[in-house]
Amino acid sequence: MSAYNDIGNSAFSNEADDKTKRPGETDPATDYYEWRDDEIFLTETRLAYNSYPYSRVFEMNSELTQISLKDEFGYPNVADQHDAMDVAAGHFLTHIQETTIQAYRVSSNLELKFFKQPTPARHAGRPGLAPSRHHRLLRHRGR
Amino acid sequence: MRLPGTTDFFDIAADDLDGLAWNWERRDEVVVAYAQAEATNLLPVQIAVLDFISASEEAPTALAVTTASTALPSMGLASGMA
Repeated sequence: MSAYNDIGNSAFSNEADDKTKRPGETDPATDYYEWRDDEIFLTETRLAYNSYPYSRVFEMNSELTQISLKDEFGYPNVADQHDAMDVAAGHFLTHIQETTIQAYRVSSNLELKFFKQPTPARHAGRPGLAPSRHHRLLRHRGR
Repeated sequence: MRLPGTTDFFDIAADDLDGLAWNWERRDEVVVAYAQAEATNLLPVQIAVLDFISASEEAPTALAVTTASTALPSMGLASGMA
C-alpha cells in the first residue's frame, strides 16, 4: 500500500541561491526558492520472520535521478501490525503540509491513523467494520 | 487470520469534497468504504465521509462523520470469502 503527495513539505532550495543565472541556462530551478514536491509513502508488511512492518517515505532529488529514504517508522509492537491496510494522502490537519492517513482492520473495527513525519502516529478514530452494524463515532487517542 | 464474521473489504480515498475552507484554508475530506456483515449473508457496503475541517495536528478530531449504505442488498458483497 502506498501513496504519494507532498507529505514532507520540503523544497529544493539549495540550487536556488544563485540568482544571477537565468532560468533554463543550466538549471531550470535557478530563480525559484521553493516549489512543492511529492514524496512516496510506502507501508511494507512483515517481509521476514522476526521482522516487523515499516512505513517509509522516499523522496526524489531535484534532478529526479535518485530516490532516497527520507524517513521510516517501524511497528515492532504486535498491536500495531495489521494484515490489511490502505492509505491516502491529503490536507486533513493543515493546508500547508499533507498528511497520510492509514485505514486498517482491528478485530471487528476499521481504525484510522494519521501519519505525519517526524511524529508518525496519531489515531483518528474507528468507524465500525463488520460484523458490527453500529457506526462508531470517532474516538481519539494520541500516543 | 481474519476473525469470524469480519471482512477486509475496505478502501480509503481523500479529496476536497465540499470545497469549504477553515480560516481560508482548504481542507480535504476522508472517504472510507467498508463492508459490513448482514444476517442475509450479504455484506452491504458502508461509506463514511470524515470531515477534519477544524482539526489540527494536536487535535485530529473530525468535525463530522457522514455515512451512507447501499440501499439494495444486491449491491453488497457476497460473504463467506474468509
